[in-house]
Amino acid sequence: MIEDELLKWKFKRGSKDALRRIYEKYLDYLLTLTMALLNDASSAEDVVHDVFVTFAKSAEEFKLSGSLKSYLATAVCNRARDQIRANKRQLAKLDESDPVSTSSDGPEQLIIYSEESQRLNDAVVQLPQPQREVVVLHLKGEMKFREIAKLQGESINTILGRYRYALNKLRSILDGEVER
Amino acid sequence: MRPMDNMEETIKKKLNFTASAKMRDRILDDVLKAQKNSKKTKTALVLPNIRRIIMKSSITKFAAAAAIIMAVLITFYFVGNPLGATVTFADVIEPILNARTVVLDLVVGSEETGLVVHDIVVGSKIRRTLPNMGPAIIDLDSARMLRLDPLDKSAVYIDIQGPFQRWTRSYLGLVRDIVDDMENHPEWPVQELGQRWIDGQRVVGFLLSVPNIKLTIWADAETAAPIRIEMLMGQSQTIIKNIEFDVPVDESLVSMDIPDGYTLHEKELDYTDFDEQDFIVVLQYWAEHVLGGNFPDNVSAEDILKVAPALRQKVDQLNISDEEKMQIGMAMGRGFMFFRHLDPNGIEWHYVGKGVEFGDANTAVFLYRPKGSDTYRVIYGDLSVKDSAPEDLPK
Repeated sequence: MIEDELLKWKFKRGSKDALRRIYEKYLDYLLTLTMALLNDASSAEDVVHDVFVTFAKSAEEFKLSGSLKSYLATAVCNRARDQIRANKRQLAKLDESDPVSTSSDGPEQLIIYSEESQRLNDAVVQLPQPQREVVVLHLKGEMKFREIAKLQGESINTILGRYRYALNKLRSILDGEVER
Repeated sequence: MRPMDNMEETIKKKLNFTASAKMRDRILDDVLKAQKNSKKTKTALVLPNIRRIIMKSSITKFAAAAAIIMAVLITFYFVGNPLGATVTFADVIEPILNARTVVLDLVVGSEETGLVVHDIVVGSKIRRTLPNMGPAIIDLDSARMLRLDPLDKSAVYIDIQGPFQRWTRSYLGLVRDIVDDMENHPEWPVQELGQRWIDGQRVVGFLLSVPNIKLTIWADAETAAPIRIEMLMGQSQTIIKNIEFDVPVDESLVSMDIPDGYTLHEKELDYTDFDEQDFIVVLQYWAEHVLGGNFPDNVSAEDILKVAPALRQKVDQLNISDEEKMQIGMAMGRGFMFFRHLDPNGIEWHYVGKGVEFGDANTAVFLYRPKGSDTYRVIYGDLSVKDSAPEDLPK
């Protein structure tokens, strides 16, 4: 956190090293969020790429008072929503609970993950998008419920409800007890 | 327990994706290009929007606690050194040795501008009150502090062990130990300063010079009771005055139990593991947020104690989580401790930040020579730190 404050300050003044450090520090964090929201390696790369590129251009406007981590997580979430809206076919896939490939179509693997991560992610992407966001942003993004409520434009009670429903559904899916 | 019983922990720990090296490099390349091609960043500082808030959050307590710890150390040094080997001087310090209760005011800094701390001492316990910060009860035997915040009726215990261990002995026991030390150091001179008048009282003075410390004790010329003690340690000045020995004191004032109506904060705080980076955080917030982009004219214990409320207010106003505020507050607390440990340890330091703009990478603001080091650590206006040989120090 202290490091982040220094990084933000240096970044605002055009430090290449600071930007590189921010990138290295948060790339996998943002990639995990994006994969949990989209479950598609190519789309995830696009989202993370766009978020960082936009961030790199934003030094002058970037507000010092915000948490860097939450700022980036929110940016990823917004971009992921755009991606979902832009790709109806992928959205349909997600809503049909049909896991999407986590690797690119090419021979090389873009993203490295364990089998357990894949299994968990396959379950997470079966959640309706609003619930998925709450679970992912809270558990992996470490965002507070009130921050997520603000992001989704809902009351905190709604967010807490979504969170409870999502966890119950995840338990059902992962225990193999989901009713189809 | 079934594997999925703890769903939250499972997702937190097990759901992870890592970018391949190729993806990592590919994105980074574009990101750095984007930065290079964007407009040059402006050099003016952008401060967060200031909103009026009520100072009740966690950060307040933590920063205040750190300030109180600083005052603790100040007093430890006071009791640690005013002791001479001559009979006359021994008369003067006799009440300090034998009194069970002491009430005093401690001025951190100069008499005219310093911050006044009020102490009630009962045996090895001290109730210490700083202006606008509420009290802290310090138990020197167990090296713990209980900080009370009357504003929101909260309490927190603070560990003052670690590097402070040598100062965490019994208050009066420490004094007696130092007497022994003095007797073993006949080379430490005690100079008689003769008589003078202070506040209508005829007093006699003694100047004690020990390595890194000059201590002046003024005592009543008739009763030999100390009435004023002035200490210059390194660049830090403190004055003890309004001293009363063996006055009746309500011992509940120094109880380490949580008072009725107070809620104990779950986290026990520890400021003992400090380093240079923590002090840099203090400088950063002081210059950037309190002074709008300029480093302070001076940095001393007095200055830090005075700026502590403003620092915590600025951190409270940041639009970040309470946890993040707490982390900054803790770092600042450790930064105070870093600064405070310099003089007692005879570490040479110089503050040269007057007139320096925050972000100036070419101008030094603070330098010190770590114990045993041949080189100096130099902190610049952009908060970068470099090692510098004495002959290469910035002018």
